[in-house]
Amino acid sequence: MSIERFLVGAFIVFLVGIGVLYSGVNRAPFRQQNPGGQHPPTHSVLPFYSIDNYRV
Amino acid sequence: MKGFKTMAWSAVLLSAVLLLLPRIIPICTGLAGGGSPMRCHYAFQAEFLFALLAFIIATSLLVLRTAEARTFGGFLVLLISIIIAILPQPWAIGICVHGGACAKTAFFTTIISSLLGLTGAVIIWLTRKGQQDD
Repeated sequence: MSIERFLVGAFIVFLVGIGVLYSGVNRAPFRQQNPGGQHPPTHSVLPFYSIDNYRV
Repeated sequence: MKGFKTMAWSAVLLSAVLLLLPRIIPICTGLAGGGSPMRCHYAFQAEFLFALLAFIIATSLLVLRTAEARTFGGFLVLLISIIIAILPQPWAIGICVHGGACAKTAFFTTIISSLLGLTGAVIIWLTRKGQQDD
């Protein structure tokens, strides 16, 4: 391989590396943090249609 | 010559492992107060850039023909491996104080960069030895 071809290839690899760094593919993604709590709301909620259903 | 090729391919392989390391063994993914990344994030972003440079220089060892160029290439690989090894130190960039995931990544980074530095030193030695034999 000639040095010119190597330099072109190395520059392309370098640019791809910078692109990977910019896009964050080189690392694990950040955890999303909710200010109100540690977990997303996953609790099931009973359907509430009317207050009349709950009157004793 | 065969030993040199083996060492050059080893340097390519080790620098490729260093490139992929934060993906294989992830650092801590939490955010600091204010939603900004912690220092381990910056340490391993810098580690990626230096590993990229080491990868290109290690690949150049397979292309370069003169003994001076090969010696200098091995020397650069050695210097970059030392930089990669010191990046997680607290007096350079550092990692999280509490340790955890990024301490594990830093441990393996130090081991692999030490091997890369050793490979660079062996490349210099083999090239100089080949020059003296001629």
